[in-house]
Amino acid sequence: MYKDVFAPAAPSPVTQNVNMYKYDQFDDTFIKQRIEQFRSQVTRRLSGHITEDEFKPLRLQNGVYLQLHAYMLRVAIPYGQLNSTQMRTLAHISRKYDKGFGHFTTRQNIQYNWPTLSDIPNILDDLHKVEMHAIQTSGNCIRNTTSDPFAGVAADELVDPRPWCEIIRQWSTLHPEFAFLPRKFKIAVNGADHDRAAIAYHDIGIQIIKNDAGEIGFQLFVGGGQGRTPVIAKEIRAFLEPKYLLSYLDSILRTYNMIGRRDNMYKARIKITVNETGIKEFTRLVELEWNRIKDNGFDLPEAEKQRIFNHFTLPDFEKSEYDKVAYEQLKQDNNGFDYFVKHNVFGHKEDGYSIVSISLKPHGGIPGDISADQMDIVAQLSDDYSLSEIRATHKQNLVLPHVKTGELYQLWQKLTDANLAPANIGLLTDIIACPGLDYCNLANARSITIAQMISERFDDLKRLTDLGDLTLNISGCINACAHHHVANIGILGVDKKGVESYQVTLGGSSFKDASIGNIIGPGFSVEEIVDAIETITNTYIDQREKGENFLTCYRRVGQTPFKEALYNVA
Amino acid sequence: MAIDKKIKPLKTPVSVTANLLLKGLSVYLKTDGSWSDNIADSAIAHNRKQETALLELADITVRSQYVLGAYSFPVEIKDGQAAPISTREVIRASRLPTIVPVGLTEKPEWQNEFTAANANSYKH
Ligand code: SF4
Repeated sequence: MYKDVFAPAAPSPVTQNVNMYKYDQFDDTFIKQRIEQFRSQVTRRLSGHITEDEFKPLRLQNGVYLQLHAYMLRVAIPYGQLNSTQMRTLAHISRKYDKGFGHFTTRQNIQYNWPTLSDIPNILDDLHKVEMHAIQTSGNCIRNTTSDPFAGVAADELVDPRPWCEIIRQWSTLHPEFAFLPRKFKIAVNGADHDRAAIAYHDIGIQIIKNDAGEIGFQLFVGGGQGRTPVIAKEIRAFLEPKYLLSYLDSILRTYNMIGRRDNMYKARIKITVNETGIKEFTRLVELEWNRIKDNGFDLPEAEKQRIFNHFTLPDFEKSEYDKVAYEQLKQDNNGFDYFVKHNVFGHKEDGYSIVSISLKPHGGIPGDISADQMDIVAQLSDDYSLSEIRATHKQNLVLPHVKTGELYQLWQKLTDANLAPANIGLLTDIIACPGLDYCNLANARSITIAQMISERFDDLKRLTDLGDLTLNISGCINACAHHHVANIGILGVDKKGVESYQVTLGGSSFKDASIGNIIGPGFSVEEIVDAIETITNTYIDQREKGENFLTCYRRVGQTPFKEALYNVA
Repeated sequence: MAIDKKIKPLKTPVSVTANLLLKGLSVYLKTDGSWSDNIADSAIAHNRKQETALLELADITVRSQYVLGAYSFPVEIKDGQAAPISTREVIRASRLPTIVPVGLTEKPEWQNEFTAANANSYKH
């Protein structure tokens, strides 16, 4: 998709005020053609000219699944970045074609649970008007590249990963060699010290680093993943010059495409290929290919790279001054605001600005779900307080990335009115939960109900704050879409002769200190699982030393005290 | 379907379900080969031969692109009608998630909308 052969289009009216990638004539035409192609495929399917077997791979490449009760459409939000116009369109789609709500996913995408097949091309048309699409949100291809939701503005960031994500997006979209990989393929890029993109659990994880000589480059990891065989990615290259990113990615994908298994879908992910080949041999094969193709036109011309980078220039921030004494006073006078600042507000690169996380995990709520009205409110708040920019996070929350610190209180009040201000980011009730058996065709058990029961039991912010940093994720089957393996407390729904049961893992982490949780023992029923979680948190409180968070405590004391408490064994 | 005593019965009786091609909604095969949105209307097979016959009947509408993904699943019989056993099939038969979607205060009555709009089209 090199674009220098096409005349640049006029600046997009949709995105011109936001520092994000803007479609040009090429993108515009390309997306339009894809929609018409899909419209024709849907028409032929409905008129009986093609069978489900023929249609399935086509609909999957356009983000359409058949779920338990209806079709599901997954819309791409490249590396989680949205503007207010796009958010309003997402609200409009949910009202016009769906049931008035949407669900943010762990790939920073949004999905609709009830579209009618014949409406989907029209939905894609509406998305196209605001420079969005659903291409490659499913199927055995390279999926939406994910990143740090604070990208570009995080106080601890080395380099903004978004231009690199965009380069990967354009390279991977309809890449002719990689349209039918052995299995789906996921890439994440992180540019900050803190890993907010879970790169260790991706098929390729990219960490932007600075080497001893002070040069910026990429540390590359390969073969991470979750599902039935969770694996932490292994380093394939300690330092790669940025100009070689695409040729190196090409080499990894080519090697995988050649030797990855197609005989057994459970052994087809690259994590299995790397494991069976050995990281040393896999690296040798990749480097062999890379040495053959690099400097041979596989990488991006500098001018094209620059064109993409130009889209991500940060805005000229207005000076933001505020009365610090009054701000502190507001926190002191208002417990709710104080908790909100403590848990949901993060440091911004620019003085006087803050990053605000909007939790989609209210008391008894459905993790990641948001109503059309709330989408509109978030869009308006982003116009009023965040330069019209929004991010979706892999933890199923939203972010307003550029809020003047002096306006936080006002914003918090408005979020509170819309039930969008739970002050629980990073706490136990900031639960990642997949749709589970309420919607998903592959599910063994419900996830959402369990998340709701836990959030109702652990409702007290003082108690949650005391429990501190604690991740709890719930998957409805071993596909692990909710990343339960890498949560401090993971819950996996299993089917026990037609009845739901929940297996608990402890000790996972998706951050730099990545680890996979261990199964603690036999599963729990729907009626037992919330008590079991409370037993675990009580055990942590009993066992912790001063300042020790859950994971550090668990790593020090091990499984035994938790097992004893859960199963009454001495 | 009448029980044929000479043929080995299934451990559990089964019914056949599929999804409507246009909307994806779950539907249940009736003895006359049409589909209902109510599991209680579904034909029940008590042995392999009956199960195969039902799947073959379902296949006619699968081939004519009206439904897709037909399969049989265990049911229990309550008052002479099929009822789902597994949690999955109980949820599927309700045609709704068990939770109240965000923005609503009580369970939506979406089935009614579908039923009214599609009642006649189920006869194929
Ligand atoms: S983890 Fe399983 S149940 Fe949950 S969304 Fe993924 S496939 Fe569905």
